Amino acid sequence: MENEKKLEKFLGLVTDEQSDGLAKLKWRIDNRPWLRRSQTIAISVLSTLRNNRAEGKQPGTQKELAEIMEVSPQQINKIAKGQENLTLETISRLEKALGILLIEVLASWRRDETEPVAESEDVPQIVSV
Amino acid sequence: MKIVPTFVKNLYAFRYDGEALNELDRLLDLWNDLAYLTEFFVTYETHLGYFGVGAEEAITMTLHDVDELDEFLANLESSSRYSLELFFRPLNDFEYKAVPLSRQKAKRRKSWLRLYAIKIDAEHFVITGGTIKLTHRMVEMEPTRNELAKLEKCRDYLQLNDVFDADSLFDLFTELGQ
Repeated sequence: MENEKKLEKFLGLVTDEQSDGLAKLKWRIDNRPWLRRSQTIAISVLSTLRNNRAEGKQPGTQKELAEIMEVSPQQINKIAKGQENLTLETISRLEKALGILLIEVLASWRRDETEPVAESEDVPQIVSV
Repeated sequence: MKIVPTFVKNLYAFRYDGEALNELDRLLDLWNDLAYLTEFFVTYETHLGYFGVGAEEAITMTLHDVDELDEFLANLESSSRYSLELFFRPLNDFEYKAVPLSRQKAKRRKSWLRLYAIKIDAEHFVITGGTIKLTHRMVEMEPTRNELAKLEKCRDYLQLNDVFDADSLFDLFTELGQ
């Protein structure tokens, strides 16, 4: 079969159906900095749940985590997908419910981590949220 | 099953019955879903030994690959400098001549993400599916075995609709070991 005829037949099979795939892709690229953090948090949350389950501790499932945090299982499911723009409040509640530290913010006077810490009364602080 | 256009010119994808999204959109959603990636790598953690990483590191590596794939597809969509032929290569590494309706895989260096497609001609491809490939041969893991079956099903569909040469049937079986 000639290539042109084959292509013509193929194109005849194509249904003109629109999708939002490009919009989603551009959204992911535009929002990558915070998405990456949300994904890293999701990895920690899911890993902690898995470890808890293995050790017979609670919360070991997304449902149990939802109950402890008093939110819907759907909300935890969204967090677990790593595509939620989490508030500091939600992150703090996750940390409390799971008993882990998810993010930490360096105080302004401690931005340059490569600088040796001088011994002084002004002890640099890591502020956890 | 339907064939629908994707956001990349001349790149099409199958949308299977019961699925809301075509295969390209579905896979990009799936590969960005941490819950899915976690379940996948925990299920197939034994295959990660070869790569010397655990499930969490594998997820992080995959996210990096997906970011690169997003950039690559965005470039494909917005520029005519890129050719689909550069992106897809024959599924059978030993395939050295053009075969009608040749099965193609989109492989990007150092990535285990795979998009599988059937080549219609040099510029037109139709995606049949994709997965995370952790083994050398596709038959060694269930997800890749499923993708082989989808490739065959799609090729059958195209053949039934007369988009094929009878001579191309010969490699239907010879490529199954890949």
